[in-house]
Amino acid sequence: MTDDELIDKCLQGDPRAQKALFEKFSGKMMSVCMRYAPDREQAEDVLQDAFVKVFSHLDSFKREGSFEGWIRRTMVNTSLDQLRKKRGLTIDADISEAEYLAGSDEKSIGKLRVDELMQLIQEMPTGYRTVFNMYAIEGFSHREIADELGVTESTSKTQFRKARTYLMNIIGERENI
Amino acid sequence: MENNQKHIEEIVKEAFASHEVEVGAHVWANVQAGMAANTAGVAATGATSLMKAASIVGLSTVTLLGGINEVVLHSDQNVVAHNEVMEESHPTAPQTENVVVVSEDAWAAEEETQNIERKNSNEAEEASAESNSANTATSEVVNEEVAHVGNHMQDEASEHVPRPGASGADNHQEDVAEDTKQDPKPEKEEENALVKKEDKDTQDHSGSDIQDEEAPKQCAIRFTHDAKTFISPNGDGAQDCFSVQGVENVESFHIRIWTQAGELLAESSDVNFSWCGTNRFGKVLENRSSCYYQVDAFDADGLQYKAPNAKGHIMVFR
Repeated sequence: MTDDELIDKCLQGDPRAQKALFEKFSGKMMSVCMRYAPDREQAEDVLQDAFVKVFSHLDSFKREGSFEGWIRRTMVNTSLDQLRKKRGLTIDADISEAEYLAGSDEKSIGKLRVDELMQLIQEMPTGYRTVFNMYAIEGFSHREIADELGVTESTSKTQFRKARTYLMNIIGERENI
Repeated sequence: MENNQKHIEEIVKEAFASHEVEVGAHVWANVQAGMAANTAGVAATGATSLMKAASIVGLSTVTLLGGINEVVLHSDQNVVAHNEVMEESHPTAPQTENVVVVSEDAWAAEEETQNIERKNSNEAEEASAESNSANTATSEVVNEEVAHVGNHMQDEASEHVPRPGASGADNHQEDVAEDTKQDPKPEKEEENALVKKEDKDTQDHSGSDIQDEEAPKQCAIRFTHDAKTFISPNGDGAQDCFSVQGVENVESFHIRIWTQAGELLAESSDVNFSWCGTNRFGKVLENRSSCYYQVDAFDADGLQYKAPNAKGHIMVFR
């Protein structure tokens, strides 16, 4: 079944199609929600809220772009809503920047397994994590991030730079153990 | 450094591009409940928070029967120390709000109350209908269990999106199909053994134990390859590659192959897809690499193929 057929059947209210759609995307989308949420439980909450939105707003999907992209965007938006609601999205600019540790380079990060990377991202401070996810993985521009989070563009850039430094430091530390 | 930084973004983006995380079975139940609440005119988020609130008071269980949704709230007295019982017989309601239900428990619960034809693609509806009867008797899950499961997010079992590699089930080749279906947590080996056994029983009887409420519709797909296999990609023409065999009546097809660690090696929607022991970047895997595959195939009726060889193990020899 193609995505289009799946969408058609879901719009007709076919429960099997709905379940098939959920099963098709839930694993990938859980990965998205996990990156934005501080823990698994909150990620699951977001995932289920977002899927309810996906199903109830399915008719508004224009079928021009990628369906997966549309679902993913719903996940990210719901994740951001959740962070705002929990007031977890206060970005404090004053975590001092550390230098890169010797020996931590891109090769180190390449050696990490995805689940290890996921853990590192989840452990980042919320501001870092959010901006890092949006910029590095989802591909938002700093302008878009600024609009979305209600901060300035330069804050977004700073946050991203710090997040990157933070991540490299952590990886460097792990390496040097 | 600039170059270095650019790399980080690329590497991270690439790493997450097709990354999947297992989702607990209860999430789908909650989504269904949310949708039902939506159609009933209640805001979905409202319903979810209502259930959340309820779960703080006691334990709420979402049941779904024949399209009618109801939220059943249990009082505190139902939440009893239940660990011993679970150890012995795993009586757990398949759908329990705010509780991470491990699918092996859910499976066990299903099997205990009533035998279910698990290859039927409508297992969710069945499970829900099932839970209705199970609820009255045994629907408690100890919070301790939640904490336990929470600590092992990557290991957690899920019947729907198994990442077999993450489960560390590498040495269970003899019943890989059952393994991947159960996606066992290493911490619960004894329990798993028991569940696996039950699984086998259920599968042996497949075809006869079909639930009453559901029309006995079988998935029309039959694959003929072995669930447990190996490849020796050395170009000699013998067992160089793995591909799904006997593809018939397939309407939708998707195969994914992972390493033992859960790294996605390959995926394709082509029924003729053939995998020859390389990762996504064409790098050849080491000798004796242990890999897992899963095929998501649906027939024209939208029924998913769930026979043992829909998932399995591939050993790579060089």
